[in-house]
Amino acid sequence: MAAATVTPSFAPGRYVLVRLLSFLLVAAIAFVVERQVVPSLNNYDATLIVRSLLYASLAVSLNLINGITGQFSVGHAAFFLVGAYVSGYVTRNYFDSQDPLLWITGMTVVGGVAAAIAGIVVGLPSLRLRGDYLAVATLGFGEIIRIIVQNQDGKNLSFGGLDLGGAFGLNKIDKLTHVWHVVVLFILIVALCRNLLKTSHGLSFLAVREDELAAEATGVNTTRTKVVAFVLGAAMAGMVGTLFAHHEGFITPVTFDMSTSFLILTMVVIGGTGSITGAALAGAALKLLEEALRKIDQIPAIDLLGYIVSALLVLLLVKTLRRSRFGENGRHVFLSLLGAVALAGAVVKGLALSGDADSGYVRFVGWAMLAVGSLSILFIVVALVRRAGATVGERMLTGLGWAGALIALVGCYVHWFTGVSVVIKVSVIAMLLALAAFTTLSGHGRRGMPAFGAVVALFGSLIVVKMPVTMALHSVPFIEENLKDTLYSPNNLRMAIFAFLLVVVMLVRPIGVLGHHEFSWDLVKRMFGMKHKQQEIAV
Amino acid sequence: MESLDWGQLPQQLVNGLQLGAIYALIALGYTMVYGVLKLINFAHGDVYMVGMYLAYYTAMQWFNREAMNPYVLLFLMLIISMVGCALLGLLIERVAYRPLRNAPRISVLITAIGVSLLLEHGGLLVFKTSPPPSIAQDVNVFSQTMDIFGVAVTQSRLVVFGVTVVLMFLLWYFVTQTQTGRAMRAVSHDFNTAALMGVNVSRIIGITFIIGSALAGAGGMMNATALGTPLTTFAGLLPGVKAFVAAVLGGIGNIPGAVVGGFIMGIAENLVVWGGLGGYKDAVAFVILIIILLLRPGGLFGSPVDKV
Repeated sequence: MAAATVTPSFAPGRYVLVRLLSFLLVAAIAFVVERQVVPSLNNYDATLIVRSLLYASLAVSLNLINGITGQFSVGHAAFFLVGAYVSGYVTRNYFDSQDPLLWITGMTVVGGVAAAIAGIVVGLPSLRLRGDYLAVATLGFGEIIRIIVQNQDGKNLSFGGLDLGGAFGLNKIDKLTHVWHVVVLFILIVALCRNLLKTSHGLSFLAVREDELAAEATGVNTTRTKVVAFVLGAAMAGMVGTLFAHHEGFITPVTFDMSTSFLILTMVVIGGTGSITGAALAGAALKLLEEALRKIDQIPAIDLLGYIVSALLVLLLVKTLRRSRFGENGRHVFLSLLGAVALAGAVVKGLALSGDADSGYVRFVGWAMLAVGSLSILFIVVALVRRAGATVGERMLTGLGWAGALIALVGCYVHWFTGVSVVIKVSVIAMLLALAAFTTLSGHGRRGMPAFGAVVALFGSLIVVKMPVTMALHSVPFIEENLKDTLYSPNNLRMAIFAFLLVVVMLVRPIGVLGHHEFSWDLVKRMFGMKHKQQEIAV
Repeated sequence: MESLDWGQLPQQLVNGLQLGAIYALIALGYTMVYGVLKLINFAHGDVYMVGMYLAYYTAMQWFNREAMNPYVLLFLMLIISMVGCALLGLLIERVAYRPLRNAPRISVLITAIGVSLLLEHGGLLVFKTSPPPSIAQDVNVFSQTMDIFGVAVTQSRLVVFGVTVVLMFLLWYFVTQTQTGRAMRAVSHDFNTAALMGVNVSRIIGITFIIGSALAGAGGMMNATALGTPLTTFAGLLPGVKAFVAAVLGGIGNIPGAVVGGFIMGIAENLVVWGGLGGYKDAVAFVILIIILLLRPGGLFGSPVDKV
């Protein structure tokens, strides 16, 4: 936990140096992004990056309230809205195109301050409540703010004839946001949250989360702490809203309704309530997934049904195997086998997609799959090799696995650049051999796959099980007749998928994927099985 | 803002009573589940939505068939909606809430939000949504308007009101006069002690979900039939939240309170429309909620101290 890493001693010289260096680093990142990365992107990819970073920032800001301070707020979209509308309205009516950079910086501050004021208005009364009552009160405030904005159309229900475009929204906001603004804001928000946890203020946030009564008893002003966290989170959301409005150029109240609040909440909860890393990763990943689902062609109904049925089957299988007399070992063998096939599938599919040079987006997905597939193979290899080596047979198997994996990796990238199809066939065979070798090792009385491998394996087993299930579904006349021509657009299903993820995460691991962990090399090593959890000493 | 039309007031009050009856039916489910599990069942409004759809599909299936008495059809719609929703409620409880019985309350609340989103967005797969279907007005045989003391009242409003009262009476009988009802009150009063006294808590929770969801289904069927509301999978979101406010207003966990709260909400909403503030119709519920939470968190009929 973060609390354990706090060092109260400060060396002023080192402090200044570190700040200076981090400032230079941020500036360098911004420069590289603007000069090197952005020109090579098309419009769509740039939008993708901006949106995912903005949502990651939103998730981090909500995490300050929900995760770190332990208050349950479900109205975060309202502060996002306030920032977007206030700054958007000012820009639309008063922007004089003199100095865009100064203007957008100023607007970010204005949006942040406006949202902070909204945060005080909402937070002061509602933070007297706790738990689910607080949740409902913030939900209510969020909706009230949205409905008020929705009624400001310059007609009779507006306050003072204010015209925010009513339900149609504000359009023609000057698009002043550059990609690097978003990058810098994201870094600033993450840095602020992380550094806050190293101060006594941050510690009081954590104390309120862990035990409000005990915190009060040790002299923490709990009400003040909660309000400060709430207002800080709101201000950050307002800043994000400003950049959002000036990126899209067009905002409507519907963008900020209850389901947006739920989406941000989902990101925080899935990432790990209280983990800045988790919130940021989940925010970016879910937003990317959402945008990706817009691009995918329609799914035939039977395929979808196949996925659902096989997901249930896999869950059932894992559960049964865990209980069976094969125990842990049986489950690991099963998972390893399926994982092997899955990884191979990911790499092959990635190659197929990345070969399609027509669409930058498809290429991007291809690259991603290729990277994930090969990285995971590498990590699993390393993890397993570290454990292997007791007998000669095991050593030989290890060697075979290493060789196969290397051939496969090199082959994949050779194919990527040359496009010679024989290479890919050879590498796939080598990869399968390698994985078979490692799978045998893994089931050889050793401990099974590391956490990361298990997750990949679960997804893989889904893909593997889905094939026969879909075939079986096709052979049922009733289903075949009724669903033959039905197609579903993944775009309409994205929230359903997120909701499903949310429920599954809650049922399997209520603390979220990362729990309270923050990013550290130790954590990465543990996830990939390169290091084991320290034996905990029983007290 | 135009001046108020006082002649319209009684009419709006009657409309409010009918809307309030529906809210009261949904609010009962919230309040019963909260009483037993201390859980805000966010998915409850979506169970109501499923009730609307079940009524619609039943009407589609049998309407205009020969030898189907229209009164029988309406009764059939009501029964199918209630039974279907009861099963759905039980399923939700078993799959999503039961495994989390010992988890922190916030985890269960997040799961409830997840189930609600899943029903709304997953419902897009199952239910017809575009164009939004609505139950044909011919199905509703109670569509004549009657004149009662100068107020135009459609018969269906009276029927909705009547059925609601009957259902509430049945619920009252069940909770206060039967052995199971007594067990339910015991669990609501003190979960652990009730379990120690030999009450099968799991069974009682199941029954609570069944009854609450059946009432929501009845509300959905009546609203969809009497008003011919266009159906979408999100149709339960706002009524659900408003009914929850009604339950808080009456004191959550308190059954008569939920009924009174429902009627107050329905009337308040119609009064806001009458006052020329139609655009703020949906905000009124939240304003009431926040005022009640800040001033008297226990609700009108609840104990003034605890609950928060």
